Amino acid sequence: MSEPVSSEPVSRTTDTPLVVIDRVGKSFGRVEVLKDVSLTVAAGDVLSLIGPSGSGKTTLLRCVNYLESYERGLITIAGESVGVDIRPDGSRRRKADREIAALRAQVGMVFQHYNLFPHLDVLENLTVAPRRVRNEADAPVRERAMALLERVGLADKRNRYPSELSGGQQQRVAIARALTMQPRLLLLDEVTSALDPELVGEVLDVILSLAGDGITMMIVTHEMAFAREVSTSVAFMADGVLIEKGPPGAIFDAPRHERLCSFMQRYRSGHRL
Amino acid sequence: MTGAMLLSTGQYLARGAVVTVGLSLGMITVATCFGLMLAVLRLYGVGPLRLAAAVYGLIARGVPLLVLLIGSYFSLPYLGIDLPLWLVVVLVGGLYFAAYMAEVFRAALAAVPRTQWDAGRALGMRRLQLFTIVILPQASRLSIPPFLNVVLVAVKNTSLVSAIGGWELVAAGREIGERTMEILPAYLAVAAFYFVICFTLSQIARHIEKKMRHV
Repeated sequence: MSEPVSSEPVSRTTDTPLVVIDRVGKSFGRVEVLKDVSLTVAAGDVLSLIGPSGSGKTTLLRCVNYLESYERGLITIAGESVGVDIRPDGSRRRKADREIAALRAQVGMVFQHYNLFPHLDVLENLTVAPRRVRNEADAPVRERAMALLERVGLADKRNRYPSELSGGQQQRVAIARALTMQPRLLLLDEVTSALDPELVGEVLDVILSLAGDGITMMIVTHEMAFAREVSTSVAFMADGVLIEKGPPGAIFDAPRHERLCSFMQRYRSGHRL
Repeated sequence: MTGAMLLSTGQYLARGAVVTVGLSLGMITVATCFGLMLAVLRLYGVGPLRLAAAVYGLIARGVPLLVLLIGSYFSLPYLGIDLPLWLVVVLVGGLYFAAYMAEVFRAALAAVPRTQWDAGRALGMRRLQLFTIVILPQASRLSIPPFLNVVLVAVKNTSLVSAIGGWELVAAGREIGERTMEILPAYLAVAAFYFVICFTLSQIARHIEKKMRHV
């Protein structure tokens, strides 16, 4: 059974990883979508998850903030177990909704289809969670939100509604929305996959600048050139298994595992995976 | 008919129309609150409550309102419950139309994409917060056109009150018709009042829908 038990204090030394994914497994019915996946992400790291469609990358990412449950293994963030408590006898128990929500509030997530709130304007999209979930005072939240909109280059759109923005602008708002909660970890799920090619760059630029600021990120992406540029480490998954993990140079230039080699080859020859 | 008679006739019908509008508002308020509750139970409720809400909907929609009104108004006193007629109408009519409202809200709530739930959850919202801040506002705009439909049917069905001895627009029209022997004009005037009420409600609904275009 997994050894990190949430009730035990975890030392917060600098080399303790922020995210520990320990032998995590998940099934949809009879299909095992995650098999014994283990990974760590240190604070300040940018980890890219790559692999063919259906390899379990997105599912793994959604397990990290418990949008998906997992049945085996354990994920911890800063020593706190995600979604479940494991009792001394090894049995699992789902945490209370309140605890799960509190953890999610510390983990930002950006989705493929932006998922902005269409009935709120841009500024309200950013401020609604800090105000209503954390009961923060209005003025400082607005100030923070405006600074973030400035940063993603959309301060002038603060009173627009999502439907009035381009895909790239919506996605930048979505990134700013996640950051307004001041998360300790940012999850990015194929954030450019729904964008027109000419809009991809503006979103990737924002993410690059966040990485430069040392924001810890886990990124599921099909943009290989981007993954190589932004990541401190890259993990390759196929069929629910983590096949190889390493620094971008090693993964892209010197892949060892045969699955990864053929994946890279197909990528180089221009196939969309 | 002299001008003075016309005027007093109009005033008399207008008083009936006020009663009709009052009964309608009461019924719609009850129907909206209870209907939303039923919809929430059917979508998110646990087993037995979900089933109870579904069964309630089937029964309420499977029985004529007139039967329910007559049945309850004349049998409640035997149960020792003595309510004024208007209250019986508001409650029984409200509970009856709640079954239709439940379907309106259920469809609208289910039409809000699942991804909106994901987005709210990822921001740390609890279920109730997510529902009230994110889902319900979006569902309410989607529900306006079918909501209006039920409202219009409810308004017109308040005329059933005259069948159990109540006084409202139709009863007022009938009295005038019987007194003046001008049956057709009397009922045409009644119809015109109903039309104005319903037309006004439609315009209000359209206006609200336009204002909520972003929702």
